[in-house]
Formats: sequence, C-alpha cells, structure tokens
Amino acid sequence: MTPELRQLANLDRVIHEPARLMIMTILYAAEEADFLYLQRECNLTQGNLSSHLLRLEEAGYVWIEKTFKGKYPLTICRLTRNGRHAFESYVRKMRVVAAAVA
Amino acid sequence: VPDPTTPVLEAQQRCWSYWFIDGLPSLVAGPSCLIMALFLLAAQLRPTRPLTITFAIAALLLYPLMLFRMKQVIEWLKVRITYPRTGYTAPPYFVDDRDTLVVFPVAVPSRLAVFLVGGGIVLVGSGAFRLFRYIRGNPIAKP
Repeated sequence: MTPELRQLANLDRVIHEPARLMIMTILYAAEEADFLYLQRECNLTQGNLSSHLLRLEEAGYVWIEKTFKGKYPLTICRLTRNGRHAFESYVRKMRVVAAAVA
Repeated sequence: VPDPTTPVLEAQQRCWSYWFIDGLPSLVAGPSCLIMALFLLAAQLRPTRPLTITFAIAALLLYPLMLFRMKQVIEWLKVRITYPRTGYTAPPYFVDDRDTLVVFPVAVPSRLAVFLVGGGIVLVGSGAFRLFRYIRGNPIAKP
C-alpha cells in the first residue's frame, strides 16, 4: 500500500462521518447557521442533527450558542478555530488519497 | 484552503443566495425606489409648490440613508418572516465587526457608486421628461 493510501487510517473520524462532514462543510462556508437551516440543508431529523452537533461540540469543532434574534430563539452553530483547521486538514488528506486512488 | 470547485463553494453560494431567496431585499428596495421616484416626479409636475420642494429635498436626503440602512430593515423583516420558517444563516461578510472592516473599503465606494448612478439616472430622466414637455408644449412652427 502506498504512503498516500495509508493516510486513510489517519483521517479524522469525527469529520469523516457523512452527516458530520455535511455539517462541517456548511459551517465552513457559512460562518454561522442555526439549527433549522442545518436541518433543512442536511436533510436530517432533529434528533440525528442534534446528536451529530453534540459529537462535534465535544470534539471542540463546533461552538453552539442559544440566542435570540428579536423574540425568536435561535440555536446558532459556528466552527471553532480548531474545527476550521481540522476541516482544512481533512480536505488536504482526502485530496491526497483521492489523487492516489484515481 | 479547500479547492473552490468543491462543495464548499456551492455551500457558500447557497448561503449567499439565501439572503435573496425570500424576495425581501427586492420587496424593500423596490418600494423605496418607487417612493423616491414619486417624490421626484411630483417635484417635476408641481415644481413651485413649497410642499413639493420640501418633499423632494427630504427624498434626496432619505435616499442615501435608505441605501445604508436597507440591510437593517431587511434583517428586521427576516427575523419575523424568514428565519422562523426556514432557518437562519449569515453570509460571511455579515458576521461581525472584523468582517465589516474588511468589507468597508469595498462597500462604501460601491454604495456611493450606486447612489451616483441612481442620481444620474433620475437627473437624466427628469431632464428628458422636461424636454418632452417642452417639445410637446412648443411644436415646430409650420412655415
């Protein structure tokens, strides 16, 4: 096995899960988004999204804030600096792996 | 930094288009331009009335104010209409002061340009309207 392919073993498994990868991609692009927006974009159920967000929050990749805009409560999610770096590193590794496979 | 051809760019574009997707920016910009146009038209039709002149001056002063405050008005409407239904996301340049400072050198000249171009169009339009009225009121004398 080539060294490039061996990088697959070092991939960040927190991000590698498809639903969490979707969440990370959206938050990387959007800077911040609320629970409802993420749910609609990722097409996940409330419980599913909630558990994935919790996992990302535990890993220190996502920062969740319960706030209000006007009178309406919002659960706003943002990528932390760590999360941003982890996502960029994940993308770099995946690109190397994809190039080796292709 | 991820390749711009990846889904990151697509997510970013969706996020940006989300600001316009509910039509509120157009609904706010449209009537405000219409009100401006009506004020200026009234000033052309009845130019000597003090009330019309006052309205026209007020409209001219309100126009740049509207340009700079439009985002707040749209945001106020979005909080009540869009966000509770389809969720909230902020385009990257709306997030905090750090980003505002980055965008500031671009935002001010671009808005000023819109103001000047808009003002120019209004002036040319009003000139054309006056010329049309003049020509209609003063037909070429037949020999």
